[in-house]
Amino acid sequence: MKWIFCIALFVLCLAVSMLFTRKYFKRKTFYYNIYFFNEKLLAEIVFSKLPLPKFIEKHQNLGDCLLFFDSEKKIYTPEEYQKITYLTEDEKVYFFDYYQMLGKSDAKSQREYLESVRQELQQKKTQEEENYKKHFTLNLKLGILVGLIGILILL
Amino acid sequence: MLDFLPMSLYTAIQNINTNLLYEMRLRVNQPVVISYAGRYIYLTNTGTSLNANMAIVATLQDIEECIYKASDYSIYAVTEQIQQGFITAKFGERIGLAGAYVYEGKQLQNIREITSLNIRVPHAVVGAADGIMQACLYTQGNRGEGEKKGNNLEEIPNILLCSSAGCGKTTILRDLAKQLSTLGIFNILLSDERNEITAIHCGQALELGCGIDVIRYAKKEDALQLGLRAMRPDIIITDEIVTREEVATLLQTYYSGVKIISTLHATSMDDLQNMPMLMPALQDKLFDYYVFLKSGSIGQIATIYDKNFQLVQGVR
Repeated sequence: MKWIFCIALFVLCLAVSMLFTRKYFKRKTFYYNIYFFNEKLLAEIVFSKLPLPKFIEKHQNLGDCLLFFDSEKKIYTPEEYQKITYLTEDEKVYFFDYYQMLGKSDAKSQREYLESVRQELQQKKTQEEENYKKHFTLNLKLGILVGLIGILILL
Repeated sequence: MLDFLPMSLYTAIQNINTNLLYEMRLRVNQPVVISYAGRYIYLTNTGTSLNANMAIVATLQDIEECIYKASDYSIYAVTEQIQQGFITAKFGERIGLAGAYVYEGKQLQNIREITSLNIRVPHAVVGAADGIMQACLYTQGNRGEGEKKGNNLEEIPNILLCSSAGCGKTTILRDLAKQLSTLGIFNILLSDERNEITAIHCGQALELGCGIDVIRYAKKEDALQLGLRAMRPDIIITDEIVTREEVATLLQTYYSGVKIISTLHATSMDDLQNMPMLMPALQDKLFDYYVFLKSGSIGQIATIYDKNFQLVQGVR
């Protein structure tokens, strides 16, 4: 019975430690999705120039990136995207501006804009991936450590 | 239809009979004018009026909103259309643009600061082409009562439909395509450069017959040359001939044995014969019939000439 309790405590400690990495996981996923959204839209503008609403319909698996669009594919008001809690205020403003630029200019200008933000998004994507790995490893180790300490105390 | 209009204008047109609405003119800080039941009149919140003071006034924001919505929130998707001075909305409404032209070198790049819109509303009018079918496809002797020709491809004439702007050429062309498709199992290629003949959107279109293949938003030369090879048409229907190159392409198509039906801005046979770009077509007798519509009315045939420029119907 005691061992079952110890194992449960260990698993609980691991689970709690993983919860602390959730924010970094969401940030990593968001930047991953926004980078590929940018890449796919760029390719779309170069080749078939599908309008934004139809492009978004084709790419429903881009997670919270699509929260910035409403059913008519217009940009949300600032109050709406405040719901994305894992982004900082500066990041929210940055992405609000980014989405405001979509669909508002001719093909050449749109392409140039998307290419100009490409490198920045790639850097942020890489940075968030590393951030997540770092925090995941740290929290995992902390979780294991706390779990083991808990087991020792119990025993 | 017209769902790209700002709410105030969209609400206003619900108070009129949109079947009689052919055109809307939006100009910045000016009253909105519509072509309604054959005349120009002002649009008000509750209907129409001849009094400009009662009319809805269009703002710059209204015009920008129209363009943005008509492009499906994607200006980049309609760049080529803007470079030709128009946007076609999803139900075939053609929106002409007037503003500041932006050039890069000699090429028109964009139109900015758009201050006027000319919105033309398409209508599918069943029977619009009856007059032409009657005059050009029925036997000479008993017009209206004679034996119907045209079941055989050889009997279908090449027709050039002429009029000034706004007289119903596109509406007639649409109905003509549909009626021809019922005469027999023909392959009809329709070159719809501005998507206003067919108004195809998400697989839906203004009523077409079977046997019609549509090439949209393509330059006429591309549509005809590539369409001829890819779609093997028996009949080609195309909207306005404008340039010498388009006439040359039509002639090439004619010599391939395909029947041709097209339209042109001209009000009389004299206008036609004075157009240098059309000379090769007139000399080679490309068209079997020249059909002129009455100016100032919609869809009414004024005169019809045969390939030898002899009057066969109407008064000169």
